[in-house]
Amino acid sequence: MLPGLGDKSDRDNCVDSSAGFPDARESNSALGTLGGLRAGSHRPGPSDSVHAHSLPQSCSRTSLIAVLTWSKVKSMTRRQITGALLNAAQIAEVLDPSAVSQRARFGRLLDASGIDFVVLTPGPLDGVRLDASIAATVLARHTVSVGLVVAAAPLRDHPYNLARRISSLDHLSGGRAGWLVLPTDPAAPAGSVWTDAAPRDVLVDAVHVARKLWESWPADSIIGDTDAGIFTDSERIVHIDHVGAHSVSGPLNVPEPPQGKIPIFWESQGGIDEIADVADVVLTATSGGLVFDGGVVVAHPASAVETIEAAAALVETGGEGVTLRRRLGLGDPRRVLVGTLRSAFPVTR
Amino acid sequence: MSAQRHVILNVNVLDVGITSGAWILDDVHPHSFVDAEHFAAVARIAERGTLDAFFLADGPGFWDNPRVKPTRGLEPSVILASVAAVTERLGLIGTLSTTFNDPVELAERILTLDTLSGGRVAWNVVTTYNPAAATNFGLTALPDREQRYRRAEEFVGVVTALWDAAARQTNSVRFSGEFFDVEHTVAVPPSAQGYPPLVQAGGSPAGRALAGRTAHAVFSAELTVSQAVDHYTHVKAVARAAGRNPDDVKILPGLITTIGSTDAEAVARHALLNGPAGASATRARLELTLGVSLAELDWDRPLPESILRGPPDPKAYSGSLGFRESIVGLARERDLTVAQLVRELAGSSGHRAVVGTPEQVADTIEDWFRRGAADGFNLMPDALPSGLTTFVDEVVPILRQRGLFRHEYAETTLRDRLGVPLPTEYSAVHMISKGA
Repeated sequence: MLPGLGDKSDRDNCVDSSAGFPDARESNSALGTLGGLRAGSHRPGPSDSVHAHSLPQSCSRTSLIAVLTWSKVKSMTRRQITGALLNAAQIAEVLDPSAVSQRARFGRLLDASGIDFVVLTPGPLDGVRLDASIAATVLARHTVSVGLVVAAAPLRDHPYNLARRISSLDHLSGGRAGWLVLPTDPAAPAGSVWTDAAPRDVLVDAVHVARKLWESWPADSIIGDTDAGIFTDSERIVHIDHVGAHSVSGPLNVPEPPQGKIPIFWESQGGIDEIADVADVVLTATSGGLVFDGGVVVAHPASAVETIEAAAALVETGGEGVTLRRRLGLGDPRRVLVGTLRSAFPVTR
Repeated sequence: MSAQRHVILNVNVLDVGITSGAWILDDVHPHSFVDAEHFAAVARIAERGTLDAFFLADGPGFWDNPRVKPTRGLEPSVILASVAAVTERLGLIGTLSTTFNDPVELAERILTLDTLSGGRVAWNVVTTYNPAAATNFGLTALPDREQRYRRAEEFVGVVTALWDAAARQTNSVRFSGEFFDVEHTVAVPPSAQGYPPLVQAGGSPAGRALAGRTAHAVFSAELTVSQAVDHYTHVKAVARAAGRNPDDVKILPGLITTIGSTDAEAVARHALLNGPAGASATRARLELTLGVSLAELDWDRPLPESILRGPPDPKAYSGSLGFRESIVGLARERDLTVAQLVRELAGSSGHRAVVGTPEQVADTIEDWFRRGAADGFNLMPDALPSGLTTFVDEVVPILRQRGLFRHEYAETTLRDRLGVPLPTEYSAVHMISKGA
């Protein structure tokens, strides 16, 4: 059973048919193949709910890794969520600085496709690499509705810096950011450069740090009262005083992001899955693609455009709302800073 | 080529402007400092004025209390990625800390930004002196200056070696030093300018030495032209001593501007944007620094010689003599009245300020440029975007008329515009491999 979104009992009625999919390759992790990360150990089992779909015409020329969708048996009213995974080579191609006009075209394609989000990964391992937070921010300027999920490992990238950049992306994209927590970084073979804590603790702790930081400067403390000359009721900005695998005092010097809590994605690894309990969306690798409770993430070995077209073919009804949280059907975020909090800017009365 | 030397002009985008009242103007709203459209608007104005670059200062922690004004917030590399997408020629300079980043992560991220922007990025290298940042990274206190600079030297060496190897598609970089163990290849697609030039902002002796040896541009804070000439001469000499062409390091002091079509209009705008609280704080700081009360003085006349000479009561004096010397130098150099002095020092943090007409701003720029005090400026408009709009519409045409500034962009990459070519052979690579 996979922790994830919504009613888990839906999954048990589904049947695995991916084995009969003619072009499916043996692969344990879509990220492992396309994202340049290590392969997970998960294999499709009886409880995995995947169905092969017929492919859009433009895709059938090339061999697909897989296009899989979650079969809704009971919950027919719930909208299927659709994402697409792009690796660094595919992103580099559509963001090519010598052909800037194709960025706008690709952005329009993304928005018009009706897919809910695109995951930008920094790999593959032995090929072109890009920083996903930078690429996602460029894409944000060329799109208005699609979600932008940054795949990044909090290993060389300190959780404070990562939380700050993803929050910055959330502000600049109007609430469309997500974070796929990568468990490894080829440039950090020994794990985190900031802490000696165990690898799994580092990942889980980084998520806790990020969520606390995102709450440390409340959005509604920015009052902009020109008469009183008060910009922010800064007494409400608090330290997070986090002590865990990382020690982070906070506050974050970026106000609470538009989504409150930016959705956290995790690809189930079988090995380091404590983090699945803290993630909002848990992706599971099947034979080449990724599924999650409520949706599918399409991966395609050819171009970014073909990947989006393949994903678009699976969109049944478009998502509502512009923020990624809304599109994913995630409820109001839970507060994580509780108890007595230390003001960062106390007012002496 | 009849190399007409141009002034370099960057805009230092301190969110909605450097003054405490910038956020109250009608062309911004309380969330402008986190709004993509605000940064896009500023960048488009800068590009319309053919400015050299859009610059962002930064530190990973609160700079100051945001109670009365917005504070530097969104992360610079992310803002620059957003700005890159709406501009074509404007340079993009981001401040990133060597104390609170990892060199491999930074190298990959900033080269991504450089590549996707078509080769328009420079990295402003800082070690971060804001103590609030340390506790966000598991430290109880900032490492001392000496250690921060040792780490900075190694950090910059690793980043440059990684970038240089990526640009030349040579083997992976292997390095083992005091702070970093690296064996890596940065596989980001190639940038149009090879890799980003380096900017340095530290004013300390260690900072100036690092700048002279490695930086392609230096941001400084100077109140007077004579101080600026001293600093300019010093850094160029360090560069020469390090075997570099002194032209390869550009000196760019900050310049705060409050512009009106008349003096009176500029003074009124200054009063509006700095507010009564700002004026009284500046006055208190000035009284402390000079060691006198300003109450009995005639504010429309220059400071009396007796005060300029030194603190009237040296025993009771508690200010900084160094800062006093700068302020006295400023007052003498331009024969400023007390009122003018208070205005120009408002929230200036040691940067030269001009409150006046477009001609006066252009005169200051030309004067500093021609006297060897600056290769250009890091402009700090009082409020954004309005202060930049006025600069671009009113000051830039004057500078063009005087042959001091370009009419259109000639170069595509920032490296070409600054005239700092890639080294033919990067010596640091050899230094690095010896350490491996």
